[in-house]
Parts: sequence; C-alpha cells; structure tokens
Amino acid sequence: MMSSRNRAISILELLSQHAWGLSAHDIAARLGIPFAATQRVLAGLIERGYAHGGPEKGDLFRLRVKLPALGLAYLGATGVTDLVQPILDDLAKRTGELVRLAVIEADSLTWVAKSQGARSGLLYNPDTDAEVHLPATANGRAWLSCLGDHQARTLIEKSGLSAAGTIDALLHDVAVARAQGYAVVSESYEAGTSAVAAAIRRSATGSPIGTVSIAGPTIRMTPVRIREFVPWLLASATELGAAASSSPLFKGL
Amino acid sequence: MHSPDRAISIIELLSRNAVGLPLSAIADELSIPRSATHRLLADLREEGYVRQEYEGGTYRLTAKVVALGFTFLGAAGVTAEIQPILDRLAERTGELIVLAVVDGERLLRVAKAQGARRGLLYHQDEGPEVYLAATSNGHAWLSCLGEEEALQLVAKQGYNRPVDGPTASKTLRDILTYVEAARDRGFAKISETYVAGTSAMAAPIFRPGTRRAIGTLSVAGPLLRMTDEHMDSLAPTLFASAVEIAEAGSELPIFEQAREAAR
Repeated sequence: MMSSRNRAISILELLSQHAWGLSAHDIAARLGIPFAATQRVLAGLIERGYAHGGPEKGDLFRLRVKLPALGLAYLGATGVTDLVQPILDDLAKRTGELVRLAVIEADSLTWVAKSQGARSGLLYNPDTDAEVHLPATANGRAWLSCLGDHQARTLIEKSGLSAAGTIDALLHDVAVARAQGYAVVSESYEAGTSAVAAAIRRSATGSPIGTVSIAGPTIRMTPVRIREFVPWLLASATELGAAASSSPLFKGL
Repeated sequence: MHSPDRAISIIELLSRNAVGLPLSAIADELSIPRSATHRLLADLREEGYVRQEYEGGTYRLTAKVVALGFTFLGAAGVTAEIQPILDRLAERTGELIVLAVVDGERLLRVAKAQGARRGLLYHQDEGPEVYLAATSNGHAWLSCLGEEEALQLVAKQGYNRPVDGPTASKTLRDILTYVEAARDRGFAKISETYVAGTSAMAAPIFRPGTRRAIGTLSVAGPLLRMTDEHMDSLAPTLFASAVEIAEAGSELPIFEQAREAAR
C-alpha cells in the first residue's frame, strides 16, 4: 500500500501508458487504491486539467495534453530539444534505425529522447518504461561499463538479478564493453532485436552523464553493420557530451 | 487538504524554474508550510521526480516528468504518426517546427522538431501554454474562431505581457488586425511581435471535413532567413503538413479535447 500523497502521480504514470484510457475501477485495481479514493484523485486531476473522463459508470479516463506539454516546456527550458534532438536525428537518418538517449539519474538511467530512422519496413519501437533496465539493454551495459566492478555489481543486484553465475557472466560482458568503448546486445532484451550503445561523457570532466543507442531488428543489425555504426555512434556521443554540458537536465552527478 | 495536488503543484512550479528553487521559495510560492513542503519534496525525490544538488541546496526536476510525457505521446501514437511529419517539415524548412493542440480554452505546445542544426537557432524558452496575443500559433487559432470568442480568449489570458518584440501589439484592435489578416490568407504571420529578431508563421489544423481547428502548426526562425517573402513561399508546404497531421492524427487521444469542444 503506497502513501496517499503518491496517488495522483501513480495515476498519471499509469494513464501515460494507457493513452486510450482506463476505467476508474481498472485504475483502482491496478494500483491497489480504494475505489472511492481513486475517484477523488481522478476528480482532482480532472480539475487541474491533466485528465478527462467520466462521469458515467465504466467511462474511461484519459490524459489530456497538459502532461506532455509540461514535459516539453521543461525540456525546452533545459535546452535539450534544440541542442540534442538534431544530433539524434542525424544518427537515426544515417543508420536508418531507432536512436535513443537516456540520462543518468542517481542510481538509474531514464529514457528522455529518441529518433526513428527507419521510414518503412520493419520498425523497432519498443514501448518502454521510463527507466532503462540495466542488465539487459545496451544502454544499461554502456553505463555499467563506466563504473568499477563493485559499483556495477551493486547496481545489477539492485535491478533484481541475484544468481551469482548470471552476474559474473554479465560483468564479463560489461568488461568487454569497457575495453571496446561500446556495448552490444543481441536478442537479450527483446527477441529479434539488437542494439549498440555508448556512454555520453561530459566534455569538460569525462564523467558519464547518459547513454545513446542504436537499435533495430537483428536481421538488419548484423555484426558487420554494427561495426560500421560504431564510429558514428561514438562521434554522436562526443557531440552529445558537448551539447549536454549547457543543460541542467544532465547535472545529475 | 489535497496532498496529491500539492505534489503536482510542486512539479508544475519547478517545471517553470529549470535552474531550481530552494525549499523556502517553493513553500512561499505555493503557500505550503515548510515542514509539509519538506515532506512532499522528500517523497518526490524518493520517486525520482525531484533532485537536490546537495543538502540545503536548490531542488530541480529530473528528466522523469519529461519521460512521462514522452511515454504518453508514444502510447498515444504521436511519436509514430505525427512526429515524422514534424521532422520532415523541419528538414524541408530548416527551422523550428511546433505543434500546438487545442485543449479546452487553451492552446498547448505538445511536440516540436528543430530543423536548424547550426548557425542561428531560434531558441524557444517558455511555458507549455501558447501566448495567444503575440504568437503565430495563437493568431492561427484565433483566426478560426468568431471575433467575440477570439476576443474573450485573448482578454482572459491577458495581452499586455511584457515581450521583447519591438512591434508587439498593444491593443485588442491591433491583435484583431493580425487575426483578420491571418483569416484572409489562411495562415498567421508575425515578425518581431514576440521575440526581437525572429519571425514565425502558423496554420490551423482542421478536423478533416470541418473548419474546426484542433491544433496549429508553426515554423519559426531568425528574421534574417524568415523574411516575409520566404514565409509566403513556405505556405504550401506548411498547409500540406497541417493536412497530413489532421489526416494521420485527428483520432488520436491528444486531439480529444478539441473533439469534445466541437460537440
């Protein structure tokens, strides 16, 4: 049972993943909040312009555009949309695959921007949580590769992995990523897809601030093609490190 | 007492203050006792929405609220259906593209694409709500409404905001002149009414088969490149993209409010 002051945010988080709406009963059940309380919180969100829906029984509640507009305004204020997005767009256009940017926030990695290069044919467009799963994704491993083994192990354990053999194998992969300067993951996060990612380091200090990845169907993302992408990926990561230095979004460390 | 509303109030306040605010300023601004503010901030920090640089330092939003917005746009089909249209328009014009959506009595910026890579960038730095009196998106929307309704919306939002454009409209009459011109030519065009040295144009996005605006689409850039003639030459491209968005997206959840209003 979560504390009552988290409920409005929990509902926003849930509805952001269900853009076509959920009923109040469904929301209450999914979040384990009493129905009456759910209705109260929903009424508050509606009053503040975040959601709409009801009042009939079974009516769906949906988010309005206030939440993405708020996010966009904040992103604009931090300079990311104007500086960072064009770099992602270029890389996406060049590779024809999905390019994504994640930023480091304390102990986690959060997706913040993406650009889809594939215009037709097979699209890889995962619907993701806001948070990057560290052990299984190229982005997660690219970040782990910036850390010492001890710290990497702590984060891996925190993400839910516990079997010692699994962790050792993963740390080996992370060591490979550390040595080559980028991480490759094939079929690990989602069957049929592969990804390559590199850490973004702040230009001035070299400290890691985020990761950038290229992902697509394995039939296109062959080892040969991934090797072709690596120099572009690393160049983009360097450029992002420079662009990001002016943004408060990346001050996380 | 509405604790959830307070947490959201803090997120909204911090979204307008990207560099961060100290606890005392947050408490004062929102009229919340400091002890309660401290608890709310601790919870928001626990949930990953807020960060404090160091003990006693200012509080800032993390990227999580941004990610939440993107999650919604992704789930709502905007990322797949509409963003590519904005990206193509940005590429063709080489300028900043903004998509604003009608949400009740307001117009909100929901997505953008920056076409200018180097050199002069038009950097937009403002809140989520479009300022109707002096922006191209605002004028484009107003041009689809009756004069009475348009004036009411402008008056409600206010039209004397200090803006740094040297030709900013000072009276309702001035604003109406702009809006009428926009109605006549089918798109709004402004030069230095909002930001000195920049101009912008915007077209309404109509719900297919109607003359009801569900959003607006703008191109903005430095006056040096976005001259009056150049904007006229971009008009057909802008119209085509607006139609494309209407056809691809008018059924998406982001246009729900505009649909409701039309009923």
